[in-house]
Amino acid sequence: MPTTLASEVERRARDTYGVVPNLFSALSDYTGMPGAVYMAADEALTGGLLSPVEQQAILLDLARYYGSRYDAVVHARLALDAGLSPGAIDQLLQGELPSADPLRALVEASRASCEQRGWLDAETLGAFQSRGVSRGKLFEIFALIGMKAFTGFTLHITGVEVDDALKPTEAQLSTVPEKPADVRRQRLFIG
Amino acid sequence: MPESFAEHQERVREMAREKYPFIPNQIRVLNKHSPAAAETYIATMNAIEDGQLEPHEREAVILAISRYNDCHYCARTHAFLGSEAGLSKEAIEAIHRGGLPDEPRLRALVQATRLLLDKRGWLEREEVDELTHRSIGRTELYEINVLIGLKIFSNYVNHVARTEVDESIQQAPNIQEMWPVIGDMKWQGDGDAPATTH
Repeated sequence: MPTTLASEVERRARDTYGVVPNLFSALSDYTGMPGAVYMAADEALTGGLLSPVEQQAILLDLARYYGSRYDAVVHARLALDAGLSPGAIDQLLQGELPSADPLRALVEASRASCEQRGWLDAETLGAFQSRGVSRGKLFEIFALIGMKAFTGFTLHITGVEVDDALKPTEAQLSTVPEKPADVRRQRLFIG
Repeated sequence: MPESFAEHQERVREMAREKYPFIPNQIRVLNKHSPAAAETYIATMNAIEDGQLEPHEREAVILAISRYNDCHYCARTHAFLGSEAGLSKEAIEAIHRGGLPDEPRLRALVQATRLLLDKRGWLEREEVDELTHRSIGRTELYEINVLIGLKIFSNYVNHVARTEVDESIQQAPNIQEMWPVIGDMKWQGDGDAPATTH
């Protein structure tokens, strides 16, 4: 039975998205906090510096990076709605970069941030800045990286099915991320 | 009429004044460049307070994540907040050193956090079952994942901005007492992803 907070989150999701995403439903019996956080971030970032197309291109690349099939399909749908072409979406899910800046630079900045855990040096930051990745946009990219880590890690555990309404979108994608064949623990602590 | 950048910044400052006793340097840094990013941080950190994890448990998890990511700002700030929430000096220092707190539930929460980070969320069924056996069920795992996401966001911001720890945190007696341990963090910037957090 959904927690009180989860019921409230589901009601707000229905009002905002027109549907309760399967991800939210899968969590509802345990905690409503993740859904509340997701919706708070979604709302706040809508008023940000990144355009909807830029946001969705980065989110698609992050879905690929984190190996999250569900996120890939959700963001493919939202990317189409924002105006990205089906070809551009497939390219991103295949790991290719957009052809031109600033979109290419934004996706590159997101990848570099993931791979270097945010440790971008001054030279790298300057190079991205000159290609249209302002400090403010970079901070919003960090927010998106965090949000997709949260949903991706959670989806790996829940194994949630793609929402029925998104099945046609999923069927049109030539590539969707899968679980890596070899998941190793990269151990940094003795604990 | 749409809100201007300056109006958005002022609204975020108001949000920060409501939430914090002072406007933290991290919020100032975020708000200077992207009020939407600053708003995201404040709004989501408000939302986590409605979770099932107790405040001191949440702080233990956040400390483990921030130390994992070598965030100078969050490791010290959440040492202070953890102490205020009831975490012992020994528990905070143990997490900071990469060890484990003595208390069994905190110990299991920190281990679960590091496991999720190390495996990027790809836990095997046996690992989930083992954690459940130690009272770390799906509620805890899902909430830890949220904290991982939010701290990735703020930790990376602080790496790039090299945000200074707020003076009032740094001078707090409980932080001063722990400084011999929590002050010991080698700066890992300049593009070198650290191979180890020690």
